[in-house]
Amino acid sequence: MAGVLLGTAAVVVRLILTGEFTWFVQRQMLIPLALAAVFVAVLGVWMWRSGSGDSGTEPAHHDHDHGDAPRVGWLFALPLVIVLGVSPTQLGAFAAESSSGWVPQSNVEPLQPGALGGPSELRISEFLRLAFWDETRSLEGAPVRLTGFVINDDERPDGFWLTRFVVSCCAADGSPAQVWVPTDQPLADEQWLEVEGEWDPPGLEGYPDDGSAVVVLEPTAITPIEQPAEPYEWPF
Amino acid sequence: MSEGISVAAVDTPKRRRVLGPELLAAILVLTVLARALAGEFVGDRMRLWSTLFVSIAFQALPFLVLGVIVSGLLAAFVSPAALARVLPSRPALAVPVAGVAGMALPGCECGSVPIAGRLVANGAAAGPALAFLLAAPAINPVVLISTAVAFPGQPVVVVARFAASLAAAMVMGWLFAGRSAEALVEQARRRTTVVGSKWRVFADTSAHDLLHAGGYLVVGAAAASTLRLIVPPSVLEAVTGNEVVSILVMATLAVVLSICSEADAFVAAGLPQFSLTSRLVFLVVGPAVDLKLVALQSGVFGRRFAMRFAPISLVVTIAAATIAGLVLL
Repeated sequence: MAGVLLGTAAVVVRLILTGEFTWFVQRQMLIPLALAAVFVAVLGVWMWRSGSGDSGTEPAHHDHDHGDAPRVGWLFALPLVIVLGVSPTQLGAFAAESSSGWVPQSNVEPLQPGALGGPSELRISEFLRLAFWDETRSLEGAPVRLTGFVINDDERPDGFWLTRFVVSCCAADGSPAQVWVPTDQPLADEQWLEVEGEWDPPGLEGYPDDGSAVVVLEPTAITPIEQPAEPYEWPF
Repeated sequence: MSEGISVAAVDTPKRRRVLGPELLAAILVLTVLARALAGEFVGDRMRLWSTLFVSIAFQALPFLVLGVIVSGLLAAFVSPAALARVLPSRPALAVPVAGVAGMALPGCECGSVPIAGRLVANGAAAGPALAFLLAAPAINPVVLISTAVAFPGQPVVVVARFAASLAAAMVMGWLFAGRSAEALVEQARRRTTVVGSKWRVFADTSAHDLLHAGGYLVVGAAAASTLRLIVPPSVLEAVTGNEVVSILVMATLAVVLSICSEADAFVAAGLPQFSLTSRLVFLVVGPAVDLKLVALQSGVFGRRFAMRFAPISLVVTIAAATIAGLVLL
């Protein structure tokens, strides 16, 4: 049972050291997770040493509990087993197909011009918010740069969905924010890209309300990149 | 079963301890082997499930640890007599006091369950302990601030959440005061009673609580991940027209998603298709009743308790949030 605690702490530490923890929780969880791992490890060591040796007073137990650890504690080994056995990854194409799309809410400030007249670096969620809600239409004619990964659409071979997951608490509530990028360039699913381009506004009738709206980015440059250290967007 | 202290037999624990690490080592070796050999058979769905599951588990872990630490400190350093002095003797008064005291514990609901169990084990009455259990995850400063950030320009949402959650906690505390309730929480009283130095008590209690609550947290996280993969997103989108259905759907979502209370405000903000009132229901129900919590409560207070407490909490919180929504939003 001490092994469960030590193993879990070790797995958490490994996820932190490799940076992979950002696949599951937000960056700000780094310190709380690290501290938690330390505490769990210390408890694990303590359990191990007090369990194997006789260090003074033998702890007294009520016969309702089984020895020095509750049986349900074995379930606590499951995250450790899953991480080692399945090696879960960040949310990708399959997750996007299994989730409903992210819908931007209102309360958005107009776009500020990019530095030195260059493209404005935007998160996909910000881009979608501006496209939907900005009444000053500050996006119009403004060059922007978005970062995301590719999801190809079998029904629409004339482009791809530039996607990035928007997450608030942890990966479990992630929702894909997607922008349609028309292009002939063939790209592999889950390839990360930086796309520079301009917003292609909808016609006079605007975007439909029913969630079927497609926000389009007309690309001027498409650059493959390495997956960023933090694969998700956090709305705040 | 007596409540006294019994000394464990020397032979049995030793045998179990020898089995433990070896069993774990065997499991780990098998796991790594299985992964190496059968990498292809782990499909997309299993991988996605694993990501969801691990994210919930590790998101909750620091808050679970915080709760276990506080609970362990309570076990080691606070005598039941001291606790009794703090709360007013009449249950009618103790419940609101305990409810408001919930503001003092930042963190998610994973922490408040072991603490409430510890309070009961240390002699606190069921009513105030349960009011605390419900109030602490919902009205502490971290949650209120996150709610304010998630709904910028709408401070009334924070007020509504605070009012509805506190009211629900107090109603539940009053409902569960009295002798029949004390019988229901008996299991929490029959906790490991450990002798030894204060720090030894702290360590023993913490280790026990962490494994206990952690095991149940895993059950809840696994269930939540499994359910999330089954409910089709189109179904969710189709129900936003009807207010009553919206409220029921959001309540169900709160129960199923098991999101920690300091972050559920952001999830609610990300579901703008639903009315503010139904999202308030989501925020008030979540910290009180969800799969993770029911599992935790079963572990600490017993299944009989949880099977009664959870449905009533659900009804009370839905009612409180709906009323608050109608009045304030």
